[in-house]
Amino acid sequence: MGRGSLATRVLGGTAGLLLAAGLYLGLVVVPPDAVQGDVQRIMYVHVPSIVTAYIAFFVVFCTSILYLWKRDLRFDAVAVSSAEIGVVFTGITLATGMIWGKPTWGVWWTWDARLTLTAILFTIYVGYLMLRAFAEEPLAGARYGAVLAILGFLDIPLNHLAVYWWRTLHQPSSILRPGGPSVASDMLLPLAMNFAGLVLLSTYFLVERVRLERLRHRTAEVRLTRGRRG
Amino acid sequence: MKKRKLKYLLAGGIVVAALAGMIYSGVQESMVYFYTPSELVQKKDAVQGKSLRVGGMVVERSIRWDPQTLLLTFQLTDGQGTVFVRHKGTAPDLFKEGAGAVVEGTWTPEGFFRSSNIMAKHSEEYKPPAHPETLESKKELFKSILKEGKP
Amino acid sequence: MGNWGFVGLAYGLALVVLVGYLVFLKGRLRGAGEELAALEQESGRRTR
Repeated sequence: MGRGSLATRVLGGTAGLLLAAGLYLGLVVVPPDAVQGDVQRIMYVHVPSIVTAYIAFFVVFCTSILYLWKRDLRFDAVAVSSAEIGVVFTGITLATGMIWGKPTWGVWWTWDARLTLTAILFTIYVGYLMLRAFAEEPLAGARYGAVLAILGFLDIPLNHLAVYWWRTLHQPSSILRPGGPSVASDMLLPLAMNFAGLVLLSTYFLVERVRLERLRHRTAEVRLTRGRRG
Repeated sequence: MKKRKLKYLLAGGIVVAALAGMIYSGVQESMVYFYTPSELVQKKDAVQGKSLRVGGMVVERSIRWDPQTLLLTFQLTDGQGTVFVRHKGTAPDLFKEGAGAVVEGTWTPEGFFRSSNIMAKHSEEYKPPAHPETLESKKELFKSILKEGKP
Repeated sequence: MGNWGFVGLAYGLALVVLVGYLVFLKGRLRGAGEELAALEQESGRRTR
């Protein structure tokens, strides 16, 4: 019961191997940064984490729209599962960002637009998960949740543009930027490796989390039919 | 039924209040996260005594450090205006002449900025030490301070 | 704390969060599976 299918286990194993290779490349093989030194190596976990979180929330956005449209609970199961994974990776981004900020900027935290919008993103989806967990009527929770998830997603494009629209302490994006990445080519490999590893790992998490949601649905169904029978 | 609706509204209200608080105190503040030196020079009478941030490039050969009194003085510039900064205490490692910095504090009637916190601002460019810092990366940092380049 | 101290802290924290989430997820899966199995067994006995 606790184990997934062979395919999901292969998925999890591949993610682990990629992350181990990315870790080795980023911490041992690749040279330190010219300005920051070794502490810049935090980038290899910080940047892939936020992109993975963005992808997870994009999945929430799409499946929430599909749920409101088709009213099929299978879409809702993917939405609530992916939201949980997005919150985990946003949390990792916030934590590693603070740890990177202290030795470089000189502060753990500051309320500039980039950091504020990331904290807001985290709060929106924590709120979403609370709404889903505490809703007494699951169907109403799913409906309100879908609306919140769709509106909340708008924070992400705003956050991407924030560093161009407003002055921030946070530097602009290094990868998704006009003119291509501003990271030296040898540093791109551990970044890509960790990114692929985290995307696979989050897919593995998603498959398992959806399986949990289905088990819960089935339990509720069995309870319902049994209650009806006597 | 009515009680349940009330609970939803209450839970939603708490989350919305937390978000509104962050948007109000956070985004309102971070819309103008820092002033440039020339902006500060222009409106120095209006902002006197208020706590604010100034961001710019640290002027070459402007840093003076007195280890006895822990007094650190330097100038910040955006190419048009220059602001004198006095700071009690140390600065982050990346704070140096020719690099970007954001300082928190107040503009004093004596005509200098009293800083209570120095933050180093670095560019989004990362590369091994074999390649020295290019003029291009300095320009990028400068641009991100002035906010001239939009996507 | 030196440069490597911050790097270790960041990577260590990320690892703890990911492993912690995996354990939490597996625990919930086991619990939900056992609950459903017990329920199905019980209702199976009833219909017989």
